[in-house]
Amino acid sequence: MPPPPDAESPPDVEGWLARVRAGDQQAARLLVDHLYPQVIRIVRARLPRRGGEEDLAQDIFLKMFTRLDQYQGQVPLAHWVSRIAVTTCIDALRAQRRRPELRWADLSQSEADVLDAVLTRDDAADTGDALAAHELVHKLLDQLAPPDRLVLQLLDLEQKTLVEIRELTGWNTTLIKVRAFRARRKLQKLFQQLSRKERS
Amino acid sequence: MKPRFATPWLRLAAAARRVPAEASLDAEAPVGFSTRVVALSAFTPSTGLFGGVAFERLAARALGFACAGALAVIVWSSLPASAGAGAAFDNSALADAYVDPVGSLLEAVET
Repeated sequence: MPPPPDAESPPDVEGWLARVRAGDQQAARLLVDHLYPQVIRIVRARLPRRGGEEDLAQDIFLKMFTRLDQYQGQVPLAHWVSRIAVTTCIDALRAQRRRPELRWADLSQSEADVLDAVLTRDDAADTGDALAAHELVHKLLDQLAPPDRLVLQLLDLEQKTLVEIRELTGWNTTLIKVRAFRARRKLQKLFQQLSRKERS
Repeated sequence: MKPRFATPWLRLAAAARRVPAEASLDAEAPVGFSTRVVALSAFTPSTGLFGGVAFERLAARALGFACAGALAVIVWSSLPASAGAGAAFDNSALADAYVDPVGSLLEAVET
């Protein structure tokens, strides 16, 4: 049996990969343990519901092993696995039932206050409860198609660059910009609807 | 100076970013997670990691082709045109007209 990896030394991902391809299950376990924190962070950031995150991570690793013969080593393994994780999350979001239209009455008092603040003031500091803003953001993003939701999460919430998003999703820069533009326009309409209904 | 944002969405996103990331949550793999994943990879036929998948796919495809071929032969043999062709082959007149040079040569040698 190969010796366990030293905590001080950098992980030998290439070595593990070669051993996994040769059928070494111990190396496969080491690879899963090494990649798990990155995969679970992606899953937690993309999925609004906490239930099933471990199941989704498991699906991602099963896909990784199934497609391992397609990995040519042109990008770091972590990027390649991140891309699998992102597409798996998009599929999971697609599989979830679309939520009904968001109404002002569906919001908690603090969320309604935040929404009122962002609709009436032009600075972000006075929006009040950040946690309520966070919850409201996810309720609004739930109204969008999964790719639209993902692009806004990456661009506006996680403030990733276009290059980073391109690496993570495999979409080209033009597609990312177009998706972001359309998604923001949809959100703008949603804000207008909410605002109109609140006033009426 | 307070930052100013053009749209309600950007204002809301800026406010939501003030919530710390969920990095504090436990990011280590649960005990037994990697063992379970590797076991499923190794022994689930549809997602086999250590061989067998390509063969299974090819075998399934070959079975499909074989079934389609068998069906085509059954359909063709039941057609009236093919029945007529079979009858024509059994026709004794045609059999008589058939020339067998090797047979003729053997007969000539024996006599």
